[in-house]
Amino acid sequence: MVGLSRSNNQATLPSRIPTFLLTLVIAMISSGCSIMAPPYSPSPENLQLLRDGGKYTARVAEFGSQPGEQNENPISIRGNTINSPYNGSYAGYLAEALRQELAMAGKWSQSAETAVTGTVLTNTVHAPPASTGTVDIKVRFAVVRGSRKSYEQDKSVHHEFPSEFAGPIAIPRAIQEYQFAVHKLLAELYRDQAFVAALKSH
Amino acid sequence: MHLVKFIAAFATAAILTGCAHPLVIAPDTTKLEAPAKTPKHKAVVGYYISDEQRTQEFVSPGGGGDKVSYFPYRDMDLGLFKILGNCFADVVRLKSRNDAAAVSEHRIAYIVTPQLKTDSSSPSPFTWPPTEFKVDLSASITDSLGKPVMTKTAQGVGRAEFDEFKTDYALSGKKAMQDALQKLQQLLLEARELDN
Repeated sequence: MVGLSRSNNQATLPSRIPTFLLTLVIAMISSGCSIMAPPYSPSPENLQLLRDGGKYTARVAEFGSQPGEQNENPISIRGNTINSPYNGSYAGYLAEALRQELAMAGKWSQSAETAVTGTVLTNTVHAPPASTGTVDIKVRFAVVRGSRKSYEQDKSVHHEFPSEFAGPIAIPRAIQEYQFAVHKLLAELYRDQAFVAALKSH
Repeated sequence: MHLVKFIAAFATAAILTGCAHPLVIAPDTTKLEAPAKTPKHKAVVGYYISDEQRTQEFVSPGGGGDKVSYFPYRDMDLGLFKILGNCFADVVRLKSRNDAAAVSEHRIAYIVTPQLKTDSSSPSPFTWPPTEFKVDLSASITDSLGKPVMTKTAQGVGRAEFDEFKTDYALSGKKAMQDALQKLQQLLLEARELDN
């Protein structure tokens, strides 16, 4: 839409308006576009939770993904494909989110013997035209040290946000909300005293 | 012809419903580094952003008669955490205005409470992303008992033209928030009263 209006600099104002409106409507109902989700930005609330957990360091091992109808990768929103910025993998997105928060909280070490890993079980975003949008994520998190698994729990989040009829409004909002759902999911993990205890155990 | 009329009416109706384009104006926190030669204050600082502020959606003008919407307190949160950590020995995010447990546990000397005002604009009749964004960031600082110490205000401005914002519609807002946080960081580092 922006590029089109700029490329028609010589057009008169009345001739631009139908083009603008047509472009807008096409954008509103467009499907099949491929969009890259923005990189993850850590949550200060989560950083505080991690820092309050005491002394430990951990690394993040590779996350996996269990295929299923409710586990989308890439995510589809109104026919648009939303790709993860981390090698196109939402398992990679969640691993990177965890790594960034551990690092900013001073808890991450690549050489740590204790590792956090996970398997994505559910990953969906819905942005319906006239009701509440939702993000649902479920991950099986584990803490491992060598061959010993000291923690394994499923954590899930159901995040709601206002959705809109117009796609150019609703789709960016839904993409933005994914990160905030991940904030909530990881906060659930960090609040789990068994998780913190597993990180601190030797 | 009927189709064109339908499309025009449909688009006009969508525009007139007053929908605002959602933006995230969180700055790139890797650019919020501490100046090399200015020492930190030795005190521990806490900061408090209420849930009401965090969920408060601001709406301001874009271009072409459109509006943009954003959650500036939510978007500022990580940047504020970062610059306060650059200015003080440690920073703690408080759960409430009177988080006595955290104040005691972390020996917090000062509490920062931010206030934001924003504005945006664009002269373009056909592109909605704002080309200019303003963020006024005011930080009220009290001691751990709530006694006022000082208030510092920083005005951030961000500009982005078409060639820049075509890949990031929120760019002017991100620049303005980054500018405001960097200016506040400088004001706090220079405030010798906070050395006590």
